[in-house]
Amino acid sequence: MAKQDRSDELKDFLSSEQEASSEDGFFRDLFTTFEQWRRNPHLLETSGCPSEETLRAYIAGELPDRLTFEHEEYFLHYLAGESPEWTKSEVSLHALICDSCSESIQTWRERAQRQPKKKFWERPERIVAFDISWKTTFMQVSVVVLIMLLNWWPVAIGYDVPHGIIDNGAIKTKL
Amino acid sequence: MRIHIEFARLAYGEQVMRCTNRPVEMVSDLLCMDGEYEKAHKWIALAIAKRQGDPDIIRGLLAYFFSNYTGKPNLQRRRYLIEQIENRRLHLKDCSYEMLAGTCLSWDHVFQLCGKSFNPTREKERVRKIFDELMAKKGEGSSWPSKTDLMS
Repeated sequence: MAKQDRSDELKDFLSSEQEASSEDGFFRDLFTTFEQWRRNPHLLETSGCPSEETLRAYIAGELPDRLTFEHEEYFLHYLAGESPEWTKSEVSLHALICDSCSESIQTWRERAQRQPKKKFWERPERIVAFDISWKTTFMQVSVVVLIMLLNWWPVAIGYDVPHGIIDNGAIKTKL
Repeated sequence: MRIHIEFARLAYGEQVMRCTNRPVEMVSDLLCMDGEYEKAHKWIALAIAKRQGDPDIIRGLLAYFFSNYTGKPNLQRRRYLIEQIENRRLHLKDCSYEMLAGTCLSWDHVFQLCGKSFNPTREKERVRKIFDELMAKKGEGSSWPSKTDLMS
């Protein structure tokens, strides 16, 4: 049964490939450069491979998703073949011509997928959120206690408020 | 220089698929800086078609192109991607060349990925029509479609 599934999958894969290859070259032309780059990676004068940290940030979707050349200050660097920082598109395009980066990305991505998801309290963003909410709650409680103390202090020290009646902790003005 | 502009065109194409809403007017001059007007016009035609019609359809079309026209066919990568699509763990906004390359997705998978089905032939014709209009305008003497042409 599993063998049959595999064979169907392979058939589907090959038929998709065949169907795509028989289509017109109008759109295919847009991607011909990839093959040239693959054969001659030196044509793409990049400053080496991205670091492991960058690749992991790419997998986690934490890299900036913008065009490096859209900012004037980066544009000249870009034309000179230097990139001040890796963007999502740059890593993605680099991985297409660099087999080792491509394999690393695929392996780490699949590994990350297999790992059980962290529990609510284990996720860093939750810890931060919890921390913030804890501080907020503490501040709110402090303010309430302070108001209560301010409201009740005359009762506590037995002080007679000159122009008010102290009734059940609240100060009422005489009419 | 030539290589970098080609890189910029491809990166822009990926941005169109992810729908990051980079206006075509902003990059149009850069995309044809190396004199490859035909290629630049094709990417611009895709961006205009996305703006004029249903964005998801053009994004789906691009996902199909990336998946079938880039990279060496890779069955393992395809298996992983299809699993992600079928479990609805992957969206077009998270896709990239690297993810799609060599996966040879069928149209059914692309429809599933973009959340709707469409007629690919008709959409491709629509893009080609926009491309022809842009090229005709270029032939008439204007060096580049004006902002009004791009906006209309």
